[in-house]
Amino acid sequence: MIEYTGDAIRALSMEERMTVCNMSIEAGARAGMIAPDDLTFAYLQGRPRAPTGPAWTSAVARWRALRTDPEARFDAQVSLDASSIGPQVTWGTTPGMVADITARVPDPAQLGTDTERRAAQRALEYMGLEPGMPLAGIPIDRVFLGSCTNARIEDLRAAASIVRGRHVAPRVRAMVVPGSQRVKAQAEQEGLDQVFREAGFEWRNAGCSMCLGMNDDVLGAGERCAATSNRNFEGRQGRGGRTHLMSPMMAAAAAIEGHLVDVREW
Amino acid sequence: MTDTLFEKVWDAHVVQQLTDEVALLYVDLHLIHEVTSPQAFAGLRGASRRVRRPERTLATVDHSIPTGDRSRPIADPVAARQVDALGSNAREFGIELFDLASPGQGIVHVIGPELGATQPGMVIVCGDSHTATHGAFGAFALGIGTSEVEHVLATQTLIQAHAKNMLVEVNGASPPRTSSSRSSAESALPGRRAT
Ligand code: SF4
Repeated sequence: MIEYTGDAIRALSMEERMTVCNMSIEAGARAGMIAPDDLTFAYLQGRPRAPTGPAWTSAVARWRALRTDPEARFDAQVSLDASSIGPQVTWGTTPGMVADITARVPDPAQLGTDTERRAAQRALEYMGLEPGMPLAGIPIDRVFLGSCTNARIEDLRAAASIVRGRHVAPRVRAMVVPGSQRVKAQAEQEGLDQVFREAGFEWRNAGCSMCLGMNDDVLGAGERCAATSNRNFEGRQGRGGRTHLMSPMMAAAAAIEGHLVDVREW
Repeated sequence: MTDTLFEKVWDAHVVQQLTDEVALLYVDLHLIHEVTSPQAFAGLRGASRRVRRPERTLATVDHSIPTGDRSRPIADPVAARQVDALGSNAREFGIELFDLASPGQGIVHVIGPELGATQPGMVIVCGDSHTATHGAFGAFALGIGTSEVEHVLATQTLIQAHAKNMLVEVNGASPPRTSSSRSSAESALPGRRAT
């Protein structure tokens, strides 16, 4: 169980907080939590299943008490500095095999333990990558903008801001799969579907889609994909498929360039 | 007052303490989808049980459905069977379903918050690994297996071992457009744990 706290977490939108909690499972936790605050209440107010009237007022009063006491103790504690973390891209076959987009594919021989060396070696073979290759510049075949991790309206807005007026690279097949039909409708109201379509993206209906490749949306063997979903295990997006996990803006930029790229340089 | 957020939510949901570590927890919201629910419903039917709190259960189709043209029938026979099964199970057991034709259909973890069904302080479960998403609202939300789905359907409770608590504090201004930095912060975390 991970609780997230700190200025950088407080500063996140609800959508962004959901992304963080969503990935807790990939950090080895059963669940992730963020204490509710005014932003949480503002997000919920007026939604179909949220309480209304006096029930709302008393619910908010109850919810305000949902925070960790100052004297509470944790079994472990980690501090991160958000300003020191660049956009992350996975190079291997677990979400933990990840590096800054400015980094290079690691050399398995340099890793600490035998198990790590073997795991990284195998991952690089599966991914078809060589140690020392810069991550930026790795060519891709597919782009998947979707999943419960990163397919809410904010994600689509962010990605659209990158692709607006540009076009997907010639060899690349890119698709947007909104997280829900409501997100899809909202995006269409804002004209985002047009932005994506004109840029050469497929605009699909809501579902898990290529997050787990249970429907027809799958990678072919050896195909390399920039994906905004949450897992890059062998075969997760289709047998032999190679997945690089990243944020919606990073995936959008990769679609345009045809290879992994540092979106901050745009 | 020395409780963590998690402990507060946990304590408020203990129906019965089974051992020092393990408790029977009340479940506020159960999200179900077409892939991990058919067996659970079959089990329920086999034992002649009802769904304990259908109004605390929400169903949608998301995992195996096609994302193309929805006016045509589902081509994949397995997915078609799963979707049909969820439809008839939802009808039989009185559960609200957002099916393929519904404007409210979507990925379980997207529609819960969208509907305001996800609320602070709740225990939320779903037969999908990324249920932790709902924790963003201060809920204790976790993925469960198919046999547990059946247990929750039948009893509206879940057997759980108390979890260890970890605090992750993230400070410092993130770069201006948060969307890309956000995935950074959270994906850097497993990275650090892996090294
Ligand atoms: S399969 Fe669906 S619900 Fe599960 S992690 Fe992927 S997008 Fe989310």
